[in-house]
Amino acid sequence: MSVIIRTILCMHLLCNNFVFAQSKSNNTTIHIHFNHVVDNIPLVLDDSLHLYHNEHGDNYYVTLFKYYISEIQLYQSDGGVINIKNDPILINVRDTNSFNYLFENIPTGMYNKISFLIGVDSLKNYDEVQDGVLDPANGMYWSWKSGYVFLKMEGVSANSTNRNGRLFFHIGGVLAPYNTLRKLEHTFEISIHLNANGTNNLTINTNINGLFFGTKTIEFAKLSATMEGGESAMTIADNYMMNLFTFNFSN
Amino acid sequence: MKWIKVIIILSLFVFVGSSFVDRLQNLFIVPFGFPTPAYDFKKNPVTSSGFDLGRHLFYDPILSKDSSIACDNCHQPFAAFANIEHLVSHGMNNCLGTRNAPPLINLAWQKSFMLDGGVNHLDKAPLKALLDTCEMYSNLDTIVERLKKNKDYPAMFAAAFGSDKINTQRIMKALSQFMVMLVSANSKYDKYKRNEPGAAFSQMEKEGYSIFQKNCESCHKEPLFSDYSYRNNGLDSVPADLGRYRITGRPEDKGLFKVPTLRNIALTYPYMHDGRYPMLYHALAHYTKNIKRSATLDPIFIQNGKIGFSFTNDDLMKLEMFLKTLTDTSFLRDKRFAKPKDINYRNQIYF
Repeated sequence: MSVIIRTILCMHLLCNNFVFAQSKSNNTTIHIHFNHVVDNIPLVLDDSLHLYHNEHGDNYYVTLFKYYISEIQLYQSDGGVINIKNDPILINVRDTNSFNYLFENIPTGMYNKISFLIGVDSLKNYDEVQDGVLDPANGMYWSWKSGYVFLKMEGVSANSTNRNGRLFFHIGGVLAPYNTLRKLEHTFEISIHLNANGTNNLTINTNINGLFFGTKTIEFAKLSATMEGGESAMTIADNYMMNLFTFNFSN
Repeated sequence: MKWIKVIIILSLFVFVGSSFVDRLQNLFIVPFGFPTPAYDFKKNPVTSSGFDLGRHLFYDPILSKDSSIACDNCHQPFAAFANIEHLVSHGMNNCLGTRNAPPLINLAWQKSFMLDGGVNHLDKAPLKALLDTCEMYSNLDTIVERLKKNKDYPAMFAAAFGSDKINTQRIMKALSQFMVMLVSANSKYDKYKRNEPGAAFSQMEKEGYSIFQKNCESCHKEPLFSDYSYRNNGLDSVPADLGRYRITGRPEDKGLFKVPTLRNIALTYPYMHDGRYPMLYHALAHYTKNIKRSATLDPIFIQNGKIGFSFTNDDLMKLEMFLKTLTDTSFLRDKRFAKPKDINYRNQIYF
């Protein structure tokens, strides 16, 4: 009998140790919030009275901005990589619910870098029709050349060469040499510390002007629409890989 | 009492089990002598309920903006699912398209779809027609709403997919289950190859076959009668329609289009991507008289510095007779592919 009691006590202690070990490994949560701006000015849609200006000086207002983000990863200062979310999210500036994400079970500690794809990985572009975030019904899918539109911006500018001043920047396509998928990699100026009490807030500022400068400054009079991939889409993608996102962390 | 419970439970198993088993089957059969299909049946096996749903969707004009156009407007079953007598097809508001509608034959063996190969999976192919403002001019949210409100479709989706949820993915999978079954492998040529009684080739047909094998086989490979590659067959020295180039952006792809199948070719007139040749004879004569040089002309047409094939009129006649042996009447009349009777066709207009 005492053998049994001792065995049970031992197992109980082991259990306790295991639970103790769990809380010691310190998983926490991080809240990621997408904040949309044009340079330093908050994004207001459809406002034809308060115009934004791109790097070239063209004025415009925004009527649509949607983009896919996938394979979000955080890099630990000691070398490990944590997958925050592999599957894509679709952010639509008309849907505030798509701005905020809470991720759980992230190890506490120091992180020096973040990376994610702006778009949807190549393989998914070749797969069967998807449901949910990747449903073609979301309007981010080309039917004439199979594949996702990774980022879509529409607006109006007096400098546009399209009817009614419309601007159309639909960036997609994965066939070489015009693969517009971009991986954003950002090293934090100061490494961030995810603490155990879970008030970790990472704000990702999405600056729409980031489409229009960087590798090449865009003049709407010369380029006010790209909807078929190719070279012009690559230019915009190269620009926004550098300049679309900045990061603020607090806890 | 116990026996009644057993009977009830067994009946439930049979009821639930049959739809479960239904979804485990795959009704698709690879014909004798055909290669392995490219379509991934593991992700979408053909079941009788899925096929029937796909058949209904294929013929149902509510998939178009004002319910006037169904898939069979441009893909007519009696024409091997091509659009006879139309160089290009008409869409919503009588909008004239730019390319000849291809027949829907043996699609399970294709890896890419459309004349320029822009679509990389069969499930995605109908999206082009559904959404294009010059074709059916619809949108996916509207289609899903209409199907949900219809008195019959929710039950059909439940039978095919296990629940009555209706979404883009299921609509496309059902359409694929119908389209992959459009297999043509029973023409006089097929019976001749299988040595079936009553399928002997005449002397002319044999000679035509021989001419075909010497000159056409490289692109129009048996038994599919296409290698599904992209080629410029010399229609224009400066192509108006840049074809594959629009998809790849590579200059060497300008004016290239997919090699079409020759099965049922006698029925899918007019010919070429813009329907410029009204009769089979003109399409064949193209290869002797009409090939135009360009930077992207396929090298197969240049032999010993000479362009085109040196067919005599006699050769052309024999070739045509051979090509007519590719007509598969069992395919054209297959009742499984016929238009359902229980759809509201009131607003459909055939142009």
